[in-house]
Amino acid sequence: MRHQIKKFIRKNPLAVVGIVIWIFFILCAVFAPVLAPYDPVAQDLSVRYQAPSAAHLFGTDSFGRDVLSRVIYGARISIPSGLLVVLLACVFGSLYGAIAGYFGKVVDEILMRFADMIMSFPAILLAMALAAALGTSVMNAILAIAVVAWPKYARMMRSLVLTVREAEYVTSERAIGQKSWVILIRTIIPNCMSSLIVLASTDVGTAILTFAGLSFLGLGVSPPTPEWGYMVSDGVTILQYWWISFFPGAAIFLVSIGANFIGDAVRDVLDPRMKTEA
Amino acid sequence: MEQEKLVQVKNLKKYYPVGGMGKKKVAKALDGVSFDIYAGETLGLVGESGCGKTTVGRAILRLISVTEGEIWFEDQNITNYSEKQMRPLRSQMQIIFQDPYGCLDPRKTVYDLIAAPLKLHGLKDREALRSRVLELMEEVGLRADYIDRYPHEFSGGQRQRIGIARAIAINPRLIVCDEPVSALDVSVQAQVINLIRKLQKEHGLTYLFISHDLRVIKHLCDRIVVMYLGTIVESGKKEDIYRTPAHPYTKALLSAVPEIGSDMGKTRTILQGDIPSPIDPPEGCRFHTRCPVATEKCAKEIPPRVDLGGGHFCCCHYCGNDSQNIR
Repeated sequence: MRHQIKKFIRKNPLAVVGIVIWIFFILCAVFAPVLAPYDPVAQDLSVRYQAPSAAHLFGTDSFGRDVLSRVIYGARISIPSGLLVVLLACVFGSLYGAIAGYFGKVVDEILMRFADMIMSFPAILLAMALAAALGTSVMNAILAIAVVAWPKYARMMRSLVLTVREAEYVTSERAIGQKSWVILIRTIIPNCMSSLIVLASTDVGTAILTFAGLSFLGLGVSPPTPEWGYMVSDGVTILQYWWISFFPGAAIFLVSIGANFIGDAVRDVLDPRMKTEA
Repeated sequence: MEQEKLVQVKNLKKYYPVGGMGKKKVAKALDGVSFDIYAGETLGLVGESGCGKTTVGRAILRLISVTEGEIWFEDQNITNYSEKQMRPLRSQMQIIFQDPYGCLDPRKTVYDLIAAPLKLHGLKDREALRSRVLELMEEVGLRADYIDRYPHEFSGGQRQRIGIARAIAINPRLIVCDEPVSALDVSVQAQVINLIRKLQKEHGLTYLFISHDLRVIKHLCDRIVVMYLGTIVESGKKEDIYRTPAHPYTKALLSAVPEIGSDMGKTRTILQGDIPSPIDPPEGCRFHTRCPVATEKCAKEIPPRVDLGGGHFCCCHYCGNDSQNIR
């Protein structure tokens, strides 16, 4: 076991970096009340726009709230929402695309034209409209973003399935009399997973940013609640106080890149060709 | 004594639509192919690349649909069977693929690959499955400790053995061997061919052996069907085809086989040009554009199927001993 861990670290140093980043942020989210030096929503106008100092490591924002505490608490919203958006969009989109690609013809035309329709809307606009229609809440914002994000998974999955479908091992499954949906789930989808995982892992960051956009427009979390994306957009108009945007932005950056590194490693682990006997 | 016909192919046609908008053209991959496969024999299907050999094999297994014609297996007309109707028959007919690198799912272990057909056709018990898989692996010459390995860890020959184990797992009657050795090294070819032969003896298998390699065909087959551009040009017993080939195409093929020692003084018939496109096959005899003895008649009239006796048939205006065919 220890030997395997060592080998994993040696083979995937970047994945380890990604995992460390994610563990760090998850711990932040879980132990936010213990770790945060201040109440993240407590305003103190006497200390507004303070540069990073010993008292406020990440400085304070326009309401005198401690940026460090807000970044720590922000992990509680941003990380789960980013993950959930990607999970929903990826699972739904890839199944949808797989069905379109595998069954082809009329099914493909109908399913993909509908996906194209969704893609033809400006993403943020559609998400806004949906979030507004559903009502302001974190869950609704997540749903709205997932609804605009899934077609790209569908497109990707469809093209992957079209390639894999023609492979001889799929014919071989048919030759032994396997049912078509079993072939789709057990043979075709697993052979498409690697590219999909990479797409999904690059998408976590985008999802957090889109979520931020909705929050900024008042459609995600409501203002005093700390959320990274909202904090970034809060600070961009007053860049002389760079720390207001910089630290939550850095958090988004780290989480996204961590997801990327992990995604690459997961792809390798899932691919038996990458495994070599010890 | 009448031999049992395991498979009957009757006037099989397979047209693929080609080109998009407006002009509707078809590629005639198969254009009226008929032959029988008798139980217990090995029927060789020979021809150049692109002549439709593989299409025939896949059509018999109903892995592709056909445009016209009939396919009979045992006493059932399976031409228009649905996937569901075919399922019970799948245990009767199997395929060994040409490409040992493409025909095995890279994400499944040897056990998964060989157990899959067994599971599908009724064997559920885990212990029984594993022991049956091991038995099959031994039969095709794979070491038992390979059972949990993935296809990429094997050589081409070993992969082909996995494919063979998968094909024989459910005791089929017919196996379509779609150029099973053409992707392998010559040294490995012999081993795999001997394995295929051994399995035939032990299991009473019937083979449709598709190949472009006449030496392999000669070694394995009882009867031979020679195809050219989607049609059959000659068919008959191996001895007849090799000793007294009647069709100019068969003669050309046979003269191209390299043989050690006896090459001296042998006159080769070298075919000119490439196989014509099946989209616009030549009029009359399809072979006339490349035939060394073609005449005007060949360009106009489709040659009849001439019975040369003893189950030897040839489609050529000038092959018969029948005087009306000789000008």
